[in-house]
Amino acid sequence: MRLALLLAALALLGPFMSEYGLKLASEALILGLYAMAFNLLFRQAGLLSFGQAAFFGLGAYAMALLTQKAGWPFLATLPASLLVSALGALIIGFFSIRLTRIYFTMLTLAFAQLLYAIAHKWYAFTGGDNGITDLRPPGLLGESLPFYYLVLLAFALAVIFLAALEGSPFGYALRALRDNRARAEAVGIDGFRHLLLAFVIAGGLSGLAGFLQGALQRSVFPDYLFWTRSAEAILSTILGGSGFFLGPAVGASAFLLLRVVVQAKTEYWPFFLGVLLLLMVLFFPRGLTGLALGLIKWPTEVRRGASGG
Amino acid sequence: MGIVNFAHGSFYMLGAYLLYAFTRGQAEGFWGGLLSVLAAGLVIGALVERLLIRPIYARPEEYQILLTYALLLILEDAVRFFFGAAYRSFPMPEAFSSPLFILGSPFPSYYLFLIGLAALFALLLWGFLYRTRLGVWIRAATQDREMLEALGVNVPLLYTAVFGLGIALAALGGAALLPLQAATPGMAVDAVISAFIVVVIGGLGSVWGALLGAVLIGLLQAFGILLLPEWAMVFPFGLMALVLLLRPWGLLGRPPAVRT
Amino acid sequence: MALLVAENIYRSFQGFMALAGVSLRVEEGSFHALVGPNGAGKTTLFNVITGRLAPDRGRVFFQGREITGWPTPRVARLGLAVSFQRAQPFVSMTLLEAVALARVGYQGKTFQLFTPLRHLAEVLEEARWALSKVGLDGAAQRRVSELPLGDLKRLDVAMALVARPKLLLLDEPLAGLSRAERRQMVEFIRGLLRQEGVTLLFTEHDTEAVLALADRITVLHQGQVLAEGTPEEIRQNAEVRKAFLGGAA
Repeated sequence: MRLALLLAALALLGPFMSEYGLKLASEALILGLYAMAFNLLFRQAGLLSFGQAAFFGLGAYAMALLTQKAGWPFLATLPASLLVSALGALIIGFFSIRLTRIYFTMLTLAFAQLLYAIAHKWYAFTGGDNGITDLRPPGLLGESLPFYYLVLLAFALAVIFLAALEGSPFGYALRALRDNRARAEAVGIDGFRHLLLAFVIAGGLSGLAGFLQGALQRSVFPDYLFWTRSAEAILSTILGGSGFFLGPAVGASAFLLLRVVVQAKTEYWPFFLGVLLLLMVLFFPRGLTGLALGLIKWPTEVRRGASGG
Repeated sequence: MGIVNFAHGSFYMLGAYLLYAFTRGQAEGFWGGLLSVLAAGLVIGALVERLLIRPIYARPEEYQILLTYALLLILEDAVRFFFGAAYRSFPMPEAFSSPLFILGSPFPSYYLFLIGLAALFALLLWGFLYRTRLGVWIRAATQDREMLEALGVNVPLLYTAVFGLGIALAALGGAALLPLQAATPGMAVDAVISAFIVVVIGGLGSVWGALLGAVLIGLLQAFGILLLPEWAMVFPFGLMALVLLLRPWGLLGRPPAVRT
Repeated sequence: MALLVAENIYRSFQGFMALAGVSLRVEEGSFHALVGPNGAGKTTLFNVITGRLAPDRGRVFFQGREITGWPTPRVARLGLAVSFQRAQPFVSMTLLEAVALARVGYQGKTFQLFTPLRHLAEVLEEARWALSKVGLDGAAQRRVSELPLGDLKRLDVAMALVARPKLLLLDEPLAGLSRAERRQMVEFIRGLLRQEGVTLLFTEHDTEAVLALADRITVLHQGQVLAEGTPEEIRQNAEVRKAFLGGAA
């Protein structure tokens, strides 16, 4: 319910935002979507993936290549983006999920870097470092406000989907696997298959985010696949608080705001990011959302204490 | 030790940059520089462990990964800040400027030095872990830290020391490679990934496996560059994928006791 | 009809022979106890039956069907439920959710992405039934993480029970329980499982309980079957007495 209100509010705000505001808001929603895809794996399945950029990039490149080289209409490339990124996740997941925990993490990173290297080198196909530019969606969607609504729609659908997933038997199965894999398997839950499906879903959603980002930025570069792009999803999630459903989305907004502010002052944004992550991990594991909720509860607890409760 | 250090590659990179800094890019300071890097690595590693890693031992593994990931970001930019993004190269030290002739073909003597160094350290590491009391303690600590503490061993200090040693070796590795391969901020992530591929192929948890994996990867890349230069980097991944399919615990690793 | 047959199972771990040619037949409707000192191979045999381990040699049959080497989830979905010695259930859920999920798992229906678990009426009903059978229905809405240790065991049994299993495997059901709790558990096992017609294979150290519950006993020693028979036969078996002298019995 609160979710519906939030989405409605975001929709209503649209016409009142400036051009710049709309672009920023769109980017925040896209990053939020991307981070929530990451958190599906991290929070529900207990899988820390350092390679979500692979699927983000696959989605973006699918859109870019099909519109530019094959002349496809923009919206028609959406299913293709989803398919390509989901397929990529199927392949990468198939290898990575066999390994446990840290090895899984490393393998996802390795595969993503491999894709980056391929995109970088395969000049003929991907344009290498020059990327694919001039990707303005035609017609109405080329304008900021309609595009914002497209992004909002995608975000809303994804979030509703993830919310449904959480309460579904599949969601419970993921959490069971995370809590105690052996016990979950003993009640008939096939660990590999469930985790792989989760990975594919997260991959597809990441691809959706990449698709939108490519259209927003009107260009796609190999750095869509670079490990720092994976880091954005992770950092947004940790910043916002991975333990909360919308935490990653909150974190994404904060992340973007910070980036805009910091990048205006210095070029050493990754350094700042690293320090931020360090502080969050050491001192604020529950993220901003946890911090905010703690602050909200604080007066009531103090009051209770004062009255001798 | 059960510590996941994502920033290991960063310290490898740091070692290279430090050697450059200590010697100011001059070949004469090479040997002294190497020793300084080793010492610096020990100190830095110990500090990092004491200040940053120790607080999160109790937390789930993922947080260690995230923390060291943060270090990766920090160190990469820090290096960029102090040294700039350009390649920093180092001239070949005098002692190795002429090749050795093996079986009639010239063989760069520095490569031999590196091979020898690697072999020496592999042997020292193995000997340390399996033949000294300290090594026994370390292996025991990875299995049952509390019991070791109960037996009176100062485990926190042990961890700090071992971590420092690990970092020192990484830094030394990076430094030793500097005459051959210029230092660049991006080398950290590439190194971590390469190291990881080596470990996966060679066997998780096996020291000899790491060596075997490294040799295989080296050979594969060399031949790859010969045959298909543009795609040479894909070959190690291909081998890794094959190993994962057929023997997921690596060539020299041990299959897990229980199927998960 | 033998519900479960293990034929000549061999399993070693890096040179240590945990099971050396163990055979076992569990008849339908019976309560079959697997006893032996620590290290005799009881848990290993359990793990082979449930699919956690693949045997080096030998075969396992369930209801006449070969299940050797089948992965655990597949075995579970056939109607073979296990409750572990050290219960560590799903701490993030409530009791009801945990048992309900178990039910869905055994049915093989966990790939539903859109229907909320709490809307699956039949599943919830079965879950409540299982919880009431172990006496935990009052705590159905409590979080598993809040449960005391003794109750965790009962929850674990409920999670096995909700499968309406044909064969139930209990690994040391009385471990860690007080004397009074043990008596309760024995009564529970005897009463409930007889009622539901569940075939039971269990391991136990508590001789009193074993003799009270079991129709048949298989004694394992150092990876081999030392003796097998009715409680009376086992009690009088000289070799068994020798092996157990001063043991954990």
